Amino acid sequence: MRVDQHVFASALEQAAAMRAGHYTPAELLDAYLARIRRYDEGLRAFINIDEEGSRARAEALGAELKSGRVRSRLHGTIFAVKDQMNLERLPTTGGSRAKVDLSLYSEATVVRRLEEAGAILLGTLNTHEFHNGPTRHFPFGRPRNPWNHSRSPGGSSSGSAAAVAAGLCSFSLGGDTGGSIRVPAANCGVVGLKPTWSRVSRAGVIPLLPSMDCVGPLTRTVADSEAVLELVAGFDPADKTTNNPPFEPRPQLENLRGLRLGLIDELMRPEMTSPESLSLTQAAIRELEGLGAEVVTRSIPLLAETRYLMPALVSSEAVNNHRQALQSQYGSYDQNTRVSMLVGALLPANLVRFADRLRSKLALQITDALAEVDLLVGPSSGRSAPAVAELEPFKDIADVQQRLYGVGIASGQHTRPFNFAGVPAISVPCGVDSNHLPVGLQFVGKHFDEGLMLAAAKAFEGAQSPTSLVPPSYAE
Amino acid sequence: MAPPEEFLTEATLLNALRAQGFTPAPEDVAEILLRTNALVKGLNELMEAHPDLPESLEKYDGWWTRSAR
Repeated sequence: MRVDQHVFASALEQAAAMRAGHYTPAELLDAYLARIRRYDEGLRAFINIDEEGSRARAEALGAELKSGRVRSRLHGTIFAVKDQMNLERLPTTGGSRAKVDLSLYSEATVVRRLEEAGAILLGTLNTHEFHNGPTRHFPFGRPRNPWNHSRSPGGSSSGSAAAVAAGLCSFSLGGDTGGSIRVPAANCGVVGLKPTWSRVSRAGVIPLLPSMDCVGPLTRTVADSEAVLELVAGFDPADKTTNNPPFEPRPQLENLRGLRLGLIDELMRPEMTSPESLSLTQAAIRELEGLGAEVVTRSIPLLAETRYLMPALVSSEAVNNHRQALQSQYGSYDQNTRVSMLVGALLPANLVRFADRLRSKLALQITDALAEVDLLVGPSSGRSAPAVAELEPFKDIADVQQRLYGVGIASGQHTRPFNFAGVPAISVPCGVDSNHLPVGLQFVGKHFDEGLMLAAAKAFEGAQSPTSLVPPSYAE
Repeated sequence: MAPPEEFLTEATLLNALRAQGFTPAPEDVAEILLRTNALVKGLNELMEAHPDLPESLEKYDGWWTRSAR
């Protein structure tokens, strides 16, 4: 088995191949570095690469394998992280030219746990500025979608999705406050997992909206996401919210008999989802039924209202997180970021408080809908990856309400509600549309029951052909 | 009397931002104004459509730290 033919294998398959002696972690690292040199100038997935440090780690971990020491199921695999996580060996930029004070941040616990488990940190990945997209001018180059460079990879974990899809690392980590893992995963044809809120430590991770921020993996298979979650989940004294029940993977499901799935009615309406994404979702639902699942329709009446609630909550929080830097380095921020933050400085407190209360009502609608089924399902986004385009200036209030806050238009309307509820969700590729762009199916689980959600997603993935997608121009 | 559509004018917006220590770039002001007024309008409409939120936040607030424990 040649390592350069294994760059699109799952991380678990790569680790197994290294344990079997087919290649070494250093050889896998070299294969990825060669691909990054070949492809990343056009893709702009990476911001910083720690070639020297990762090579030293790869050599050491290879020696451990040779001596019979295996730290975990992902020993020797190569990962990269959204440039949102504080690291010992690399700078953290938040995807911005503005310098924020990270002196109070420890090294990100998620990264430390993966390194202790024998995974090798290769570098940091491009992101919407401070995860508060959509960024207009990326200081480290605009990330592109490996399926089509004229299309957006989505965000904010743009580089995290693009790098995994393009075969530039074994897996990546992203952050998800309103869909920032699942939307780019869907756009780029990879798996993106948002765990239950507080399942995974956020210590050392630059926040956006702490009551909704999550860290999770982007991978080529559902099993890889499960393997990463097993390594990073659990109590962290540096993030007391992680004092939760342990993550318990479920055994492989042969079929989905006995499982009741709730298809989210509001996401299946034409004003929310394009005809082609609806058609691919309906085909996926038929596959789930073919696997034995019972599919019923469930309603979340307030689902679309995140279009107003999310900007109110995020902008009012972000302007406080960035107050000093925004006052002293205003011009260093991207125009969209600084405008949205200043909107947050102007909102009346009673409206922000109202948004918080209505968010809680929406969250209760979601937990109520979940009470009657095992999982919810629906499309991960309203359409496949949109074209990269300059934003035309807004003309008036009605124009803003249509283009920025419109039903089915506002970004993340398919994913944000589940951050509001704190429940786990995963996007799994479910096909490619007529523009040769991937589309994702979203599974939503109950609080702290990632196990069932991942088992069902794995069964669905196993019924796909092929089981994972490779962008044609990156296949070599 | 119907409320005015615009929550802020350019002058009141600049005053409010400067009072908080922010100096927006001239090219940003029109967009901040439109986005703020559009968001306030949308939230006000939502508030009118949902007058039934309980006064007590006991049931709702902090749900994310208590759920499923």
